Amino acid sequence: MSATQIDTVTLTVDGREITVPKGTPLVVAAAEHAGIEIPIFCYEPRLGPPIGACRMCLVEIEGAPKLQAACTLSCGDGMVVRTAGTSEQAKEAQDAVLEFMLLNHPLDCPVCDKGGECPLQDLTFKYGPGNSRMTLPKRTYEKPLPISPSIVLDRERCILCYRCTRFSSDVAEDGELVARERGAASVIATFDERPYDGVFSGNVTELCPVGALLPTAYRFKARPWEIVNVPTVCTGCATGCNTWSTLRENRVERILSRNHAAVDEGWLCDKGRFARYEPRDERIATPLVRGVAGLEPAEWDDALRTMGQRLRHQSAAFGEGAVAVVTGGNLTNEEAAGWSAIAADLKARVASAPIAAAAEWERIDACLAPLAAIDTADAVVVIGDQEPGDRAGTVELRIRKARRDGAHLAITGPGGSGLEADAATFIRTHPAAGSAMLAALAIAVAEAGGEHVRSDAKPAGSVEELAALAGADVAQVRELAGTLARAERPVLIVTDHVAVAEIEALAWVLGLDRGAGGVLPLPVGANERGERAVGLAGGWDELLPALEAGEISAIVFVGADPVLDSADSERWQMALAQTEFVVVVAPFTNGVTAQAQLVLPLDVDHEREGTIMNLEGRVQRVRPSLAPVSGVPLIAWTSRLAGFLDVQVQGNPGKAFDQLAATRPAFAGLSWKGLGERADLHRERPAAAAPVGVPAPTAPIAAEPGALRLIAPRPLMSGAAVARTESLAHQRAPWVMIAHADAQAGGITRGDEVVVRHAAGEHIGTARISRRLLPGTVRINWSGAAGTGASATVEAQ
Amino acid sequence: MSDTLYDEIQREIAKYPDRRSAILPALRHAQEHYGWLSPEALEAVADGLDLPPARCLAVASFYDMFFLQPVGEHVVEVCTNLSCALIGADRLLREFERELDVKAPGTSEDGKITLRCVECLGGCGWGPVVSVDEEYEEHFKIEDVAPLLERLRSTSRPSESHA
Amino acid sequence: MPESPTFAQPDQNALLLPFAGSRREIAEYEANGGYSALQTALGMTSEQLVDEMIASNLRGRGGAGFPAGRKASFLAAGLDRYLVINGDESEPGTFKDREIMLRNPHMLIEGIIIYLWMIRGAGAYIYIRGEYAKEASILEGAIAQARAKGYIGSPLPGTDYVANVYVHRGAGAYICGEETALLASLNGERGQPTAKPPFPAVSGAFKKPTLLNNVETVATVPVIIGMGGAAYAGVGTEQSTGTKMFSLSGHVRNPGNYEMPLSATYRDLIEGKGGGMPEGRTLKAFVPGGSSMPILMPNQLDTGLAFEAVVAAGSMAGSGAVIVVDDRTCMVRFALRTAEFYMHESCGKCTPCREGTRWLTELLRKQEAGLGTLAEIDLLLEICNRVEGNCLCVLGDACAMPVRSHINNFRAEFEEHCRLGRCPCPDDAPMTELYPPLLKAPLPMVHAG
Ligand SMILES: Cc1cc2nc3c(=O)[nH]c(=O)nc-3n(C[C@H](O)[C@H](O)[C@H](O)COP(=O)(O)O)c2cc1C
Ligand code: SF4
Ligand code: FES
Repeated sequence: MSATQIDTVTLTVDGREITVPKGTPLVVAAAEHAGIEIPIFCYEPRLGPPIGACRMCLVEIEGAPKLQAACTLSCGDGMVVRTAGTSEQAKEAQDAVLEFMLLNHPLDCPVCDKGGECPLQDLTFKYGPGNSRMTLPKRTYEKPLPISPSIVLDRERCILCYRCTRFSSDVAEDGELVARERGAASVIATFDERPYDGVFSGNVTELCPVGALLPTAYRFKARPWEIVNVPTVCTGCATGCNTWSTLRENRVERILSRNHAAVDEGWLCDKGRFARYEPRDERIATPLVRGVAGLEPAEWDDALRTMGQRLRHQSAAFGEGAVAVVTGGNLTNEEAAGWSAIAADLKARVASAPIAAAAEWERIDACLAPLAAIDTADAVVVIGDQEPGDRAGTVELRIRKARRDGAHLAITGPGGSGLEADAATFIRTHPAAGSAMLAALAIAVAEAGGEHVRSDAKPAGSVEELAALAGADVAQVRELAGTLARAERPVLIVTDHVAVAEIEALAWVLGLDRGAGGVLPLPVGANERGERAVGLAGGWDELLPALEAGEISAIVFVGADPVLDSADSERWQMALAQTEFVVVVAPFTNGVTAQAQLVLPLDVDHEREGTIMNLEGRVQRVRPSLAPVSGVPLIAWTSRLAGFLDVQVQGNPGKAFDQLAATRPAFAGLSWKGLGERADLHRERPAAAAPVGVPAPTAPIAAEPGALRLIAPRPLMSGAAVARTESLAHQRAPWVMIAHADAQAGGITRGDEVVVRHAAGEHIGTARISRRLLPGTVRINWSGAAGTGASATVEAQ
Repeated sequence: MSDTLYDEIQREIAKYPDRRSAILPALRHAQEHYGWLSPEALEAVADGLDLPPARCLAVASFYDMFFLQPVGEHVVEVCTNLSCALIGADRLLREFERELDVKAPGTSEDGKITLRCVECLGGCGWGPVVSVDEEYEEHFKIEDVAPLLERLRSTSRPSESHA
Repeated sequence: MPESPTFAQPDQNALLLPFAGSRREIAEYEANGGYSALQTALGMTSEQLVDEMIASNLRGRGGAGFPAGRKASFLAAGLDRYLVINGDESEPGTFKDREIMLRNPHMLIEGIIIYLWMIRGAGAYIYIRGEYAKEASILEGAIAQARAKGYIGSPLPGTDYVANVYVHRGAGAYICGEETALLASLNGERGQPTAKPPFPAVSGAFKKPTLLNNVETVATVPVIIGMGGAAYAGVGTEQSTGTKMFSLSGHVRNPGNYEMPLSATYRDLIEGKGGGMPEGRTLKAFVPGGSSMPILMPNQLDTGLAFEAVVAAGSMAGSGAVIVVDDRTCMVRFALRTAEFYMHESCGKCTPCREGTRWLTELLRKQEAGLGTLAEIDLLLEICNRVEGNCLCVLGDACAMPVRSHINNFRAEFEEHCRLGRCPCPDDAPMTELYPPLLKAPLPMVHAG
């Protein structure tokens, strides 16, 4: 698309002549070019095309027989527009619409949580009728109605602007929140009064222009003049959505989007919005040392000195690799830099991500796509067993939008994910077959050839062989390869179970290093990229054998918990039981604290100050609203610990960042002061090197006879904060998805309580039946139970 | 039964380039199978169309011909719009109410017959119009009420299994 | 299947239904010259067909009277475009499309195939209101016969073009007659109107370019292709050509559908065809084109049926539904029943219509009960003004326009209700009790079983 030639049109609005790009909606043109506000309620461009429902924006257009909605009208050349400011007729219409809107709207602003932040209240003050001519009883409804444990609905306040339902159907595409009935009886509702089940549901509370949809947690909590809004960035996943945290009396009462269009488009997922590390009094608030009676509080300096001494001793006594520092991709860059320096000094092993493959993702940096590339993509391919939204919340919304805007969406995987229903291509594969699928595509693209295609893929097999290995239909693979080969701006999104070599191979043949598309692997940790960029790379899985072999005698977990979050939970537990010195830095007691000799407090989201690097490499500032529960920020005590070890670690986040900028290439050119509230993407694409070749992917694991293969990726709604947030209980409620054919064979119907048994235990959930899930597999929303590919059985309870 | 419905829905989908367009026929089939659009029926439609059940509810509740509450075995609908009202639909309805001992909209005590009034059925010149199980009876007279109800009371609606 | 009652008598001047009884069998239709216009059309290019339609000066029979040829010209022939037939026919008083489908379904099918061929459409969908179950099965039958004859589903003679025709039943919603709501409904959405642009010619059925016309409009196509556009334009008036179906109901001796040349008058229809008022009654007013149109008074009987003539008289021809009201009828009730209908049928999308139709209805209910005030009569008029012209589609106007005309023409009756505190009409007046469907009220539960 060439941006050089933009057609413009010239029109007058209330006598002011303006020139705007062709196609600009009149409401936008009036506000942005003529400085004239045309009031709106239903208009919200992020929800798709305008619908012209509320009629608040009616204006007079010279020559038109009747008033026109300024939101649905595009500016035309020579148009003469009169808004309510200069047109009697438009003014009268505006009064009329407000009067109609207020007919049944209760006048309860003083007790409404929206009061003071309410567009309807504001517009009524500005333009509204002084008194109502409505003498009949107002419409009443049962209220407040919980739409979910997180959201309440007051139908009396609803003005039916359809923002919430459009979000549900046209942005999140979950179709959970709808309007039912029609005419004056229309109401917003969910199906059969069930809770809104969608991980983006909270956005409707921000979209609602009145106090009809409100977050339960914020009801009656605060008035607008009592609060402080702190601009920060969500650390729930690697997307890094920009947020406001609303602070009142030392509590974060609410999280709102801060709309950084290039990152989040103003959306948040419910994890970022509602999950809280609460209650604060259950948090680990002081250092704890294991004594005879278990973990006992200790003085900071004592604990840190002991820790320093013991780590130094282990390292000195057993040499390189005797100590390990394990992180979970959730530290700030500055905190991570401190731990990286300590680890380097101790010649420690490091690991920052559950799987090793992630450690090598830098190899494809030459092709790394910015999030914005999804918007303009003409083809988007999602590869992996996991749904993109489970890895990187709002990225899923971007993928959906790209599809609505005409991109060819292809999903490959074992099926049962939410994106398949409307994808142009769905190629069903075995579980954990991403590598084989990528290799098959790489060779098929090379064979298809095309303007952008490099045809020198080094085959690891034929397309037929690789497709068969993946369990995919060859014809579909070839067809998708053809689509990709022709695409100008393809984007590959990789969720899991993929080796970097295969991504590299496909990216190379597609020439993604030189084109407009790219690859976007979705990390597990919110700052996995940042941690790697400061030297904490590696997979937990790689440490485990060394730990089991006794080669590691001291291990520090900083925000990492393989006992809870890894498929090899039991092996970790057994190995740790034999490890001499285990230190755990965590917000709450967790899977690894049970085996720790020393436990230290970990700061969480709203307590931290620093920077994180999101999945596209954007460095953004996290600002604290609260002091850490321990009173001592992690970065400060890390610096203190370093002092005991004679290592230089900067304890001030700003200085630490500027040091990073001076020393680490990933941060070159950035400065603490220069990051700004909406950070730009500063990233240089390294030159691509030809890949070494496509190694033969390993065959997916076969199930034991009579058993199903388990698919157990980690869902978005997981982690310590989610687990502690009562209002998210319905979103993490366990379910078990089985294929239609397997369900029929097993006599299981939707909604049954079923039990999944596997080597690592059993798991009970509600049955979901999918017609797309690969028969012979079972998908659960629970990770860490057993690895994907493990054999399992499913039975009705 | 739900497999038959699934297959019927797939046949409807085949008539359109987009599966969403089959929602009205799908809902109609489901209503025939279940007698009314219970949550279970709507979920079966959702399954057949690969759409969220709430969307099926949103669509179903928009239209007058879909029942989101159980109804009797027979449904008697009296047009009470202008043309029919001008020529006596109101008196006709009163007679139905008296005979069935129920106020419209409502269902007779024995669960056999649901009576309701509807908007113009498009038989205005041949009115008053009464629609009985979706079949029009035109030029309907007060004297026709009792015999009609007699007939309905003694017959079940054919071809449908009420769930 | 029992025959529907009282079909119009054969009328030599009629073009659509010149015969008595029905011609549902394709053989019978063909024996009377059916499908010969299609043969003619197959020898013509798309442009020639559009030109013929333009020459006929046919105006759409769905209510708005938009020139059919011009509409056809918006849609260049090409792939991936659709034809949609509006058979929703739900405007109170209207039952003309139904008679065409009942008696002469093949004429509609032939028109559809000609139109499909004209736009080389991927398919045609007849959106028929859900209540017309019998008509839908008649159309299915006609399609099956046409398919057996090779007109549908296999290449048309001498071409490689295949016509596909489907019946799509609605499910009870008046608003689905409005074209964008109809298309939303066909697309599987709630049947709510959408803002224009995009117009159906750009994005309609399945989001593809779509030509949408009323049943009667399309059924007229074979007539026009058969006799030639110019000849067709010779019937009727200059601005309103041809014949049109009129649905006559209410207080007349011979209600029913009558096909009239558009040069005739309401008197020709009501007194001529309809036989005038029943014994002992006099004309109070008549609805000229469906309940959404301003009402006309007895002194306007000589108004022409032509679109332009009705506009000159202060109303609109609309769907051609003429409802005759006698002297005993309470006009407050008439206004209330009208408003109730539009409130019940408002889709609920835009504010003025959703809230305004309800407010009007509730105030009129007060008036009818004699509980209203004189000031509220003026308030009613003001609400009409505030609804009209401010809505997303014209359903709001369809409520405001007649209500305003009822008040303006019969203000004394409204005032009398206020003054007396009750309805002054005699016990045997029509519409003594009003039974509007409740606003989507759920039906009471059925006991067991
Ligand atoms: C509220 C409303 C209801 C309508 N109902 C119908 C209808 O039932 N049948 C119909 O053909 N047109 C109806 N129309 C008109 C259609 O929008 C459209 O103009 C017409 O179908 C176009 O066909 P034509 O050009 O052949 O007349 C309605 C319009 C409105 C605003
Ligand atoms: S009508 Fe629109 S805001 Fe409303 S319709 Fe427009 S802006 Fe809306
Ligand atoms: S008014 Fe009764 S069918 Fe038309």
